[in-house]
Amino acid sequence: MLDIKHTICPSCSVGCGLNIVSKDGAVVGTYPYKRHPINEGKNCLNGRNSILQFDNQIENPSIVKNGELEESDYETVFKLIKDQLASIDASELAIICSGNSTNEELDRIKEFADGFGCEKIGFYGYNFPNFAVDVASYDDIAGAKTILAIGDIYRENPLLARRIVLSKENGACLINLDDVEKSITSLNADEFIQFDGHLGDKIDAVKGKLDENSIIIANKVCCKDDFALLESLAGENGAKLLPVFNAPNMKGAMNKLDSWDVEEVKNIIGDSKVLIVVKDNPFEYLSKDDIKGKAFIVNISNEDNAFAKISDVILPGKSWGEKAGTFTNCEGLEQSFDISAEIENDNLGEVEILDELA
Amino acid sequence: MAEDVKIVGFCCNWCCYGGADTAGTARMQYPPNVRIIRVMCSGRINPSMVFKAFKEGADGVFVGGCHIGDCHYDAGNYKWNRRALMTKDIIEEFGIDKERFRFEWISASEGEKFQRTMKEFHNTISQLGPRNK
Amino acid sequence: MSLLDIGDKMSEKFILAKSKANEITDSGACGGAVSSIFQYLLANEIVDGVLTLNKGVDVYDGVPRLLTSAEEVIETCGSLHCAPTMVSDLISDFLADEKIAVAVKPCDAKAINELVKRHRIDGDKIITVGLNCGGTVRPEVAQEMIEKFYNVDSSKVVKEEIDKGKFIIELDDGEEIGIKIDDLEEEGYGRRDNCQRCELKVPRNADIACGNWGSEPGWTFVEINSEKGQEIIDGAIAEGFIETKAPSQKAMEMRDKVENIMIKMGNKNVGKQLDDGLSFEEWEAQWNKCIKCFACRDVCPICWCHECELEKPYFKDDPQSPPDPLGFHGVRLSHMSPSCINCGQCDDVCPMEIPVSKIFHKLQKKYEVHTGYVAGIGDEKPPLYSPMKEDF
Repeated sequence: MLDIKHTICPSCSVGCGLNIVSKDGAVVGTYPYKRHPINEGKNCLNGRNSILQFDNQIENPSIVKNGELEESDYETVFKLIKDQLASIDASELAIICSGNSTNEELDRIKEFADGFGCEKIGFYGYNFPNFAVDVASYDDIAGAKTILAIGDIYRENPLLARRIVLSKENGACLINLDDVEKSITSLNADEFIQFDGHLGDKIDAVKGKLDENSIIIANKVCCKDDFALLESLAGENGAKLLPVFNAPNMKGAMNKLDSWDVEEVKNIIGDSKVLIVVKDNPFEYLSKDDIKGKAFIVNISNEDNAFAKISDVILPGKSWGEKAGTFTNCEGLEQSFDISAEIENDNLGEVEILDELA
Repeated sequence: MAEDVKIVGFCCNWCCYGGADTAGTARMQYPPNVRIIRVMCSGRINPSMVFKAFKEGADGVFVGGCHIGDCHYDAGNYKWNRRALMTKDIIEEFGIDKERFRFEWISASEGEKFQRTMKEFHNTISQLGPRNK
Repeated sequence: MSLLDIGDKMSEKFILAKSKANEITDSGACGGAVSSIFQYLLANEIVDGVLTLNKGVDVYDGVPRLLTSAEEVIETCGSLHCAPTMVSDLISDFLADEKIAVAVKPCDAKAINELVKRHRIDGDKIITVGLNCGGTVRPEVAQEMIEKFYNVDSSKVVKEEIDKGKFIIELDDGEEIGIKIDDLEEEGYGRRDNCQRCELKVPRNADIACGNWGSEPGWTFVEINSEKGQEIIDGAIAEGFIETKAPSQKAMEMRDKVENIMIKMGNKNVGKQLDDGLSFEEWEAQWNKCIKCFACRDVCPICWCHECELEKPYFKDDPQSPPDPLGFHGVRLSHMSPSCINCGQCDDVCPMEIPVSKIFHKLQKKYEVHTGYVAGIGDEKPPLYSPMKEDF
């Protein structure tokens, strides 16, 4: 039967609403969710395409042998993992999470790590460090006089860019800072400042332009130091800051876990004998040599990718549409969602997997 | 400057292209700015081909087909005629002067009409100048 | 049935109808005749399913829902003006093989009409139950407007209605407040822009058109537009789902008057928004925001090719810039504008707030002037597709 259900878009941290259309146990499309206050039924291509993750996913617990996935069962895979965990010290376990898990799942993972005595639990934060400053809200964008956008917000976070568009209609000035030659954001900006490598060189150029009616929106930083620069830039001028992430619950993860940069992730992997990776693809930021053969890799994800091929065991978990929970979006709003995709499969969710492993 | 204008001419195989050929064999001079693309029928041309030509930098686009009633495929030029009127309406909305788009019916024997049309069209486009994109 | 009988029946083109099942009369919008007709269709297995709107979290949240049993109908009663949905593509994409009845606004009916012409929906498998429509309001705009102009907590609204030029809300304590739509729209609120321009208020392109204009309390005014519509009404009466009576002359005049006022308003807004609309320079600024996300294409209920020309290599754009306006929107216009039904979905879903429907509707209007073709009505496709040797 045809079914249309509300959910929260998993494609970035803006937190848009999205309706999922399913028919006879399969997800077949999306439908605008016009009642949602953040995006009013508007979704970007990535958001609408997020249902593609229901295609070609790993469906069964698997053991990887010579780079090939071999279908197995929960009992065998759980036993393999438990044997590995029993053979190591608490300090030899590392857990890499991501902003793709719900708050509830992250809590459960944290609880599991605490129970095991594991302190190396965190996620790759795309150079955004854990930060204490209060973030700006989307409504702040509407009232801003000057908006400093770092990165191509228009293309990468269109529904946030929409707030900029509306604010510009009210007379706001948009300054874009980026290390690319041009982008849709730069073409729509009143002023574009290109930087090379580090933001620091160009910070002085914008300093005088910001005040308490300004807002800084950044969807990329080159390193944790650059973010510290933005924090102090905002602090000195009384401007508000809004970091935007590429995973739906990265803000939630920020609030709970350590945000690592590439060096930190590498060190942590180097010191570990067992590595549990939950709903993350480390190949987005690490090379194969950084991770292959360094530890026994438990990959909890149904994404069939190159990382799956170098893992040792795979537990698929559940896709976002198949579970209920909450995501915290980049303005700090916690939004709950229900199961939206009526898909028939009896896989264990991440929480159940950790219940079993604990 | 005017010499630099670029004109794309879509000509149907059976009539207008023949007309261009007739002009050529009779050594009738016409502006070299016209780049001819031969298509089998004007009914094969859709607005997107015209838009693509403009997108790639054409300053003027010409489409030539058989006289109404003479279509090699019976009704192709009727179909084109209907699209052509819509094409005009659309380009105007995008700030392109509708003079930059022209279509004519030219038969294979009308070398002289081909020459005259090209001269006129080149004149029009030269006066309008290159499109500043 | 003899010709004479049909003639007789067709003379009863206008009726007042009322539900006979009492539990429905209470929750349905004005009379519940529509709900009873759906119940009749499901109970007698004339259709496999009924596609209608379900109230989601509140009155601002309309979610299409497919009902498969007569008992479910009661759960979906009521009309929602703050839920600008479009159901035709749900049918063509997901329900094309099933026999369904569907509740349609005039724009839904127009989209279905265009899709039937394109063989995307089988006209024999679908029953369209039209609902008169004075326009819809974007849910977030509605809430803001209610807080601002009605001075009430928008979550207290249990029902809304557009009647006699007013947007009327009913609160949970029974209080009703109405404000003139004209006044709201002057302040930039009110109905969606495309609804303001709409000139089809009574969906005569559906099998039946229902509404409360001209009706008496408790009754639904029904206009029967097709033989299929007549059969449904006759069947629903025979099976005891609805009762009917003839409307008074005064009721008919009243309904015409309401309709004509709204059409005039639509007409005026066409002039204001399209003819005196954005200049070419303003459009350039709009196109400059385009991120080529294809939301407008994907949401368009009529645009459906399996292989889209815009995804061909020869229309690839530099991903760092907005697409060439003519090479993207121009191409879409050349494909779709003759059939644009002004449903406004493209405006609704554009992440960049580009008023896409304004240019599509404008070109449809031009096309109408050239060819006489009105999108979404009648049996013919736009003359653009005609194989005939004629000018249009």
